[in-house]
Amino acid sequence: MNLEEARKQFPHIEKGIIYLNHGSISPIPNVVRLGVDKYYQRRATSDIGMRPWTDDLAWETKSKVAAMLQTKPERLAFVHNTADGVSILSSGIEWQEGDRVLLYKYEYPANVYPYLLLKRKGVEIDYMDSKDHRITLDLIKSSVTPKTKLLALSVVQSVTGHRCDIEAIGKFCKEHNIIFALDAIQGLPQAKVDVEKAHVDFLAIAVHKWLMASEGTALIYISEKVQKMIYQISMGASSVDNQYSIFDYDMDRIRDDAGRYETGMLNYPGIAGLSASLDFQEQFGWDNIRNRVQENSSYLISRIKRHGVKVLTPEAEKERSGIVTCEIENPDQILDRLAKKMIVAKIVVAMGKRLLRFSPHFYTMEEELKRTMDIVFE
Amino acid sequence: MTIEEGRKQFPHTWTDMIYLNHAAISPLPFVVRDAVDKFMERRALKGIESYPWAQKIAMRTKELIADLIHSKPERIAFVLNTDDGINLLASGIEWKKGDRVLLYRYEYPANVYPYLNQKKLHGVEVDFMEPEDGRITVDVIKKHLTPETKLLSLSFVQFLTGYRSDLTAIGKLCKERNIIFAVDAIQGLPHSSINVEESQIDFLAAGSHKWLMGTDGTAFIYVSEKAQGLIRQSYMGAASVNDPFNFFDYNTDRIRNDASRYEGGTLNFPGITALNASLSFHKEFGFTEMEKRVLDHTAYLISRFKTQGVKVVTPEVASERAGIVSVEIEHPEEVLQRLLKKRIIVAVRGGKLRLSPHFYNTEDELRTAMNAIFE
Repeated sequence: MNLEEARKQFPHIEKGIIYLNHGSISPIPNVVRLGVDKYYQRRATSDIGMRPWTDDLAWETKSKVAAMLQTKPERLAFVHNTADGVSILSSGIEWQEGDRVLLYKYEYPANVYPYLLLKRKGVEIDYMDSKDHRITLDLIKSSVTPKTKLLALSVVQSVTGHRCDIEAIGKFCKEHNIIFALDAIQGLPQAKVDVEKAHVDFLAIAVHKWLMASEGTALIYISEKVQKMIYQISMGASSVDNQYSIFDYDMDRIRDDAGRYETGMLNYPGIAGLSASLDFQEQFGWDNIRNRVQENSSYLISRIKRHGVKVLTPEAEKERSGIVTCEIENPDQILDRLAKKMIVAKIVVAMGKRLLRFSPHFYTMEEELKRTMDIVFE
Repeated sequence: MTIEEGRKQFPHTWTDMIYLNHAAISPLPFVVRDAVDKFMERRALKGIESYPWAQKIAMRTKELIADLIHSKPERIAFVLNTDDGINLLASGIEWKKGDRVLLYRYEYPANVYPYLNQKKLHGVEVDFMEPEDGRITVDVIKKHLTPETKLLSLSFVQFLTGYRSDLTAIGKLCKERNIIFAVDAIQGLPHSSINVEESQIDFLAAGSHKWLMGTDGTAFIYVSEKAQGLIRQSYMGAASVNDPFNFFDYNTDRIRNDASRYEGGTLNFPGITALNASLSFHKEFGFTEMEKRVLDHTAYLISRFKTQGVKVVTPEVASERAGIVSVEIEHPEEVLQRLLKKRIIVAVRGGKLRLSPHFYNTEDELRTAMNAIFE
C-alpha cells in the first residue's frame, strides 16, 4: 500500500482539513468504520449469538497487538480505558506503608490518579522534573529511593513528546527490583516497544489515538511475574475457565492467562474496529509508519527552531516520536489562525504555560506540514 | 409506533428465523447500527475530536436511563460491563472479616465472583439462598439474614428461572436492617419497570446487550448517594475529576461529586451512542406497551407448556416473571438442536430449556416455536 492509497482512508483530507492532533485522538479510517459496521451486520442477522466468533475476534486481535509488543496474546487483556488498566495494577499490589511510587511531574493523569489513591495506604508519590524535559536514566537514578517500589512512565510524553529509553530504564528497574509500568498510548505503533527486551512488567494502551480505532477499547500487558505478585480486586463471570459451567462458583477456576482481568462482556465492536485498523497499518508497514512519523516530527522541529522558537521536544531522533511541542508567543492566536485554514493543532496547558502541540501521523505529508508552518510563522 | 413498524428494525424477522434468546443477547436493531455508523462518520470528518459532542450524547443517554429507573443522570455512570460495575461496589466497601453477603444459589456469576473474591481478599462470608420453588421472597431473605449480613445482591430477574423479585418489598427490608441492597438489572430492563427511589436500591448495574438492545461492552451503574459514601474507589482516572483538562493539578480532592467519578477514562462512546439509539427507539414504542407484550408472551408460553404437562420453573403470576420462561423438559439439548434446524433460537441453561421473547416477537412466532417443540 502506498501513501496515496493510505490517505484515501481519511475523508477529512479530501475536505481540505489538515489534522495534526493525533496526540489527542485520531480520525476514524474508513476501514475501521466498515469493520465496525460489518460486526454490527453480523450481530443483527447471521450471528446474533456472538460466541465463538467474537472470542476468535478478540484472540486474533490480541495476537496482532502481541506481535507488536513482542509478547504472547496470553499476556494481554482487553479493558475499558487506560485508567481502568492502570488501576488493575495499582490496586492489586500489596503496598506497605512508606512504599514510594515514582512518576514524572507532567505525566498524563490516567497514569497518576490510580497511584495517588494509594496515599490512603500510606504510599508516597515522588515526581521527577527536569529543566530540559528529558526523562533520562540519570534523572530516574537520582530520583529513586530505597523505598521506590514502582516506576510508572509514558513511553512518549503527551506534553513534551519526549520518548524515554525504555530498555535502559527497564534494565535499571529490574536490577533494583522496581516494578516498571508503561502507558504506551502516545507511543504505539510508531515507537518500538519490546516488552521482553525492556523488562516491562505492565503496560496499558488505549486505541483511540495513534492506533486509530475508537473510544472505549484498551489493552493491558501484564508479565507473569507481576500477575503472580498482585491481588485481583475485580473478578467476574469471564475471569474463570470453562465459564459455561455456571454454578460451580469456584475462585480456583480463575484463568491462568491475563484474560482473568477481563471480568465480563468485552467491547467487541471496538475490538473489531481495532482489528481493522491494525490490518490497515500493517499493510502500509510498521517500519514505514515509524519512519514517516519520525520524518514529520523532524521537519516540524527544524522549521520551528529556524524561527528561534523554543521547542520542548528533544531533537535527537530516539528521544522523540510523533509529538512536537513548542513554547511560542500568542499560541491562541496561532491556533485560531490555523483553525481558519482548517488546520487542527492543540494547545496543552502545562508548566504554567500554554504550549502549542503538533502531532501528525504517518499519513500526514510534508507539504501539509509546510503549509502549517507557513501559517504559524506568517 | 406499531408493532409492524417496530419489527422492521430487525432484519432477521424478514427471514424464517425466530429469535427467542434475548436473555442471552439481543439482535441489533437498525437504528442502533445506523447510529453507530453515523458516530463513526462524524469521528472521521466533522467531529474528529469527539470529547465535547460525545460527552453530550453520554449525558443525554444518562437522562434516558435515569428516566427509566426513576433517578437522576448524576447518579449514573458508564462502565464496560455488569461485572465491572458490581466490582466497583464489591471492591469499594470497607469489609471487615466476618461480614456476610447474601446471594441466590443460582445467581449469574457476574453477581457472585465479585463477592467470592472479597472472601478471598477480606474474609467476607457468602451465604446462598436456595428456596425449593426458586422464589426469592422477602420471607426467604429474612430467613437467611444474620446480624453480620452487610449486603444483599440480587438479580432483578433471574437468568435461569425467570423469577422476578419484588424489589420494593426487599428494599424495604434491607433498609430496616441496614443492609446494602444491590441489584443486577440486566434481565429486567427495560421491559420491567424499576423505581430505584421507591425500592430503596443502593446500587444497580446493567449491561446493554440483552433486553436493552444496545451493544457489547456498554453497561451502566446507578449509585445512590448513600452507596457512594460507602465506596472507597480503587479505580480513578483523568476523567474522574472536575475540570478534567486541568491535567497537572493532580489532586484527588478534585474528584467529582456525582457518579461520573467512577468513569476514569475515555468511555465507549460508540457503545453509548448505540444505547442511546435503542432506548430512544424503545421509548417511542412505549415501555408500558413493551412490558405488556413481554408478559403476554411469557404467559402464552407458560400456558402452552403447562397444557403439555411440562414442568415450568418460571412463576405463573405476572408480578413474579418478566421475559424469561424456563422449563424442565426431557432432553433439552435435543430440543434445542431440533429447533435450531428450523431456525428457532432458544437456549439451555443449567439443564433447563429457556425461551426469552422480546416485545417485537409475535404470538404467531411463539406458536410456531411451541408446535416445533411438541411436534
